[in-house]
Amino acid sequence: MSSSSNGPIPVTVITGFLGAGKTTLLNRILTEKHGKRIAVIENEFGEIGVDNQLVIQSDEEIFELNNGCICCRVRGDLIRILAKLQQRRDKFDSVLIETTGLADPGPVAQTFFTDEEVKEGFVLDGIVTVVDAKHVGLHFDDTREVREQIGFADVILLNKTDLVPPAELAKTEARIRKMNPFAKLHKTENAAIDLNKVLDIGGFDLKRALDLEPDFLKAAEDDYHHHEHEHDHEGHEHHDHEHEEEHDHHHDEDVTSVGITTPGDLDEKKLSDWLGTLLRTKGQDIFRMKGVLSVKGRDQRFVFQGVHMLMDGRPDRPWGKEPRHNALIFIGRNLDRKALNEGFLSCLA
Amino acid sequence: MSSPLRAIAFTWHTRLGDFVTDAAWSPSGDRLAVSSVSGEVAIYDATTGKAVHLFKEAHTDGCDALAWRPDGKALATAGRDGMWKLWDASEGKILAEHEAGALWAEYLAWSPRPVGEQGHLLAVAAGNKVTLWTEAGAPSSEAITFSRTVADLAWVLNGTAVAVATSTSVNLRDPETGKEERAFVSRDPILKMSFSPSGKWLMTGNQDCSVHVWNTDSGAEMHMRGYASKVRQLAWHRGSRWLAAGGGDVVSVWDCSGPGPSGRTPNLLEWHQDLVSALHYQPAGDWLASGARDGSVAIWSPTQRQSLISGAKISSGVTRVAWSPDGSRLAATGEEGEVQVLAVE
Repeated sequence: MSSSSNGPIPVTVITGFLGAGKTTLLNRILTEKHGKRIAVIENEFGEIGVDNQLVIQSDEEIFELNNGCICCRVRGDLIRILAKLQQRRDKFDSVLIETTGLADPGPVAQTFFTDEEVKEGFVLDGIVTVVDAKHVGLHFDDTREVREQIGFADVILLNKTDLVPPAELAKTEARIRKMNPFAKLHKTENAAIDLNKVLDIGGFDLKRALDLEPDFLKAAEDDYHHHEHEHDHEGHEHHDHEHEEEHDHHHDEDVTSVGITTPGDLDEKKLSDWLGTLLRTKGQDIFRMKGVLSVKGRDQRFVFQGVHMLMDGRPDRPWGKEPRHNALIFIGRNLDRKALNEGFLSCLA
Repeated sequence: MSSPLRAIAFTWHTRLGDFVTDAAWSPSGDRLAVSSVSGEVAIYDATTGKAVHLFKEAHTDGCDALAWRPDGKALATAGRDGMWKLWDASEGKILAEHEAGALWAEYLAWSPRPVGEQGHLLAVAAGNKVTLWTEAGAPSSEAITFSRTVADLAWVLNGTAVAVATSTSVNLRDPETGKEERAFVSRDPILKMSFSPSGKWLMTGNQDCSVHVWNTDSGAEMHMRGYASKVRQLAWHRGSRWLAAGGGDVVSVWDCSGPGPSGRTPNLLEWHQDLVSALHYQPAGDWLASGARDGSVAIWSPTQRQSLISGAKISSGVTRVAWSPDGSRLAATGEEGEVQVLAVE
């Protein structure tokens, strides 16, 4: 087989609207002394030029593997380029892919889960979304791609924080959090960030997803409680204000997250039927999902993660002394919070 | 599965430093040129295997393509440094070197016959640009720019047109004016293109594991689906009747006589136990060579009942198989730099 004896090469996708700071971040990664050999695949408008680093320009050639299925859209140009990079014995330590400002991260991510040759040599490590703290407010509502890029992210750099008053920054952060509670959010100026926080983060690795668990569970619970809160205390003044804001800015198409936490054991058959139907019918609208589940009759936790209709799930470590529970989160557009909650709860044994 | 009919002789063997990207016999068959992904270019004596020239750093970051000038006196190379170079094959000197228009110069092809008054022309593809050069390595015309990255390049129709494949189409261009003469638009993304020697058939291997076929006379298009992997290998028999395709562990050989392959069942050549990664028909004979990712190399006579003539193995995945012009020797190259010359006994 191929000369590679090491594991697959981690790939980081950098997304963000025009002017958010993607190029600044890339230049930082390339020029910092980290001893890594990095290959960059930048979009056709890219402007990175660093000596002694491989920077390949590419146009985003998207095609559908199965006719008409949005979840089978992949990047043909990446498949071609990655195949060539894989030929070398002195492999790259890491690959960075910069997308155009208006790119949908779906096809990039799906390339790493559907193409057999790509899967053999590369693993998607994380999606990093750079957000312009000063201007993102303008784009939240009128630019679908900005919401999608936030929804897909494992790491969000809320950049240019120096240009925004603290109150406005807090509002922007809250809004991002609502769309995507499981991404790690870092506030940056000039995209200055410790590289360990953007590279090699294991965003799609089920094992490593456990490292993120406390935060992720907290996010999911917060979301769930918030949901309860809406129903229980509708007359509350402060809440009314928030509610109004929601009506002003959020509409049905908005990118949002739905977190569900509940004790109890799940019926395996019901769960698999429900998830199968959900992904088949709503997979187009689900950007990311992650979860830890307690399945009746199983000693081990069941962990899963997915992108659109593509899901990866398996038994993980035994529950041991930890109380058995379920925690899962969906990020996407047009998510029906009520139907997701009811559907999931109906899977309880 | 059948066992081979005839033994194979390992004529000579040598090694480059990394994955062999291309191999080409000189027109007379007395030299074999080989390139690697670490940037080496070597020219070997075809009989002894002794290196006549070894350029260790012909192209920084890798050499992807080789093409002998039709007179056999010079070798063109293209690489991941964005350059193409013309080497004097006996002196080993660089006769010309030029930027090809993008970071990766990936494809090279000499016209099989002189073009107008200009002699043979060399077509070079880098990124979305195709440039044409004279035998001396001087620019022949303006670069032709495509909307997408070039995926394959060849001279067709007796050297009267340059065929350029991108992910979405195959374009025929007039080599003197650059004008588009014909375009075949593909719905599925193209990886590899091959015209039959007669020019009647155009085949493409596509990212979605299909093969498309155009009858260039009628323009009719057919799709052949169900391949187990992407089809990156296509090889024509010199008579334009048989087309061999990779895809999975099996070589499929289609009969393209008369109305073409549509509705026919291909001969399936089964012997490899890993993905087929290289194919080549003898330039003047009927044997087909195939190589696979597990290092196996097979020689077939695809139309015979007992189709497997001979089999061998090299120590890493096969990247290229190339018959010498007279078909007496086969070069097989590997992912770890192997260069093995074989002969059927």
